[in-house]
Amino acid sequence: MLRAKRGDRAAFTLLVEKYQQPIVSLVRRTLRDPDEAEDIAQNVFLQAFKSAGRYRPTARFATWLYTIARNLCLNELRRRARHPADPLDSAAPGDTGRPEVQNPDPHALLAPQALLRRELDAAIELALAGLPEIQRSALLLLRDRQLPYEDIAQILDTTVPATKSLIHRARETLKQQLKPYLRSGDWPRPIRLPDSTNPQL
Amino acid sequence: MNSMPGHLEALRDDSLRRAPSAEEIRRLESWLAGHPEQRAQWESDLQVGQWLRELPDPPVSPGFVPKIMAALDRPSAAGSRRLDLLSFWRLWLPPLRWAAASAAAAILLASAAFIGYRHHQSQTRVEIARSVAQISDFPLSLDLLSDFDVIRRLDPAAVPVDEELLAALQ
Repeated sequence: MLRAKRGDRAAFTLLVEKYQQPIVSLVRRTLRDPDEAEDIAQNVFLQAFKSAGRYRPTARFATWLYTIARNLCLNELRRRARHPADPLDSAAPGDTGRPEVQNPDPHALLAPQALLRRELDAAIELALAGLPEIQRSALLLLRDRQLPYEDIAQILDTTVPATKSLIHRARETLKQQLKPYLRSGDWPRPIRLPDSTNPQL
Repeated sequence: MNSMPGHLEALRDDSLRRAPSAEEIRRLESWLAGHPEQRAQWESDLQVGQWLRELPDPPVSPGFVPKIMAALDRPSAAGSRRLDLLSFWRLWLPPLRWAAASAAAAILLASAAFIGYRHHQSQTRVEIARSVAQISDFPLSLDLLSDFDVIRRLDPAAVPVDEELLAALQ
């Protein structure tokens, strides 16, 4: 980032390539409009480049970038709230309940499993979309393994205990929303706990 | 739940971002052996964590990076125009500032002179008006002019003092 701050375009290109996916994911899951999300995500990087002079190396670049992304998303959500009749909103794929998702390796799963997985992913996306913005952001930021809780709290403009509480509430809501899938035996399990006293899972 | 060790609490949240290690699973199993009522809760937590970790990311269009770089080039052209304007002002601002300051000082001086002149004029007018008023208030009658011809005929050299003038008049 320090090189990009000095106007090094090649260094900035590397940064964009590195962070494009997490930023697009966060923005798209927040706004639920693929086209608009991509525009906003591009603006995140443009704003980062323009305000590179204000960047201090004491803050992690990812934290700074996520903060810009969240602020732009909140601005867009506020704009939508002021103009609810905006036609862009009606085109949001989340409204259909079948968000477009990218399967990383479609050939790795057999057809029925792939279908089940796609249905599950759609259900998870829908459950995520139903969360309050701050809970969803907390959960999505937590997926970035490099991001400590302190930084997530900073991005969300809150404290670490409050962030943990947000994550807890978000997970509980997701569990409620995904209960039918949790009870089904068709879904892959993360751990094989021996001597399970709850075979329903 | 209350007696859950701290590392297991942390594991619950961390399972949203990474798969638990074999050692962590072993510790969890050992704890669950004493708290079987927590097993279902833990299984669903870890399940949701795994689902979230494996959730595919939305695709990024191939033109994402080039679009950003192209957008960066556009403002830089505008920026260079801004810089040109800036250097123009930097070049011309000092002499312009001097000229503006001189003009302002000249205007100030001219204004002060004009105000002074107008003040002097109005003072003179007031004095004239006051004098005219004094004269106009004086009671004018024909008796005052009755000795006018006698006085006019008097030779100033012949009447050196007032007493003689008085005697002459009498």
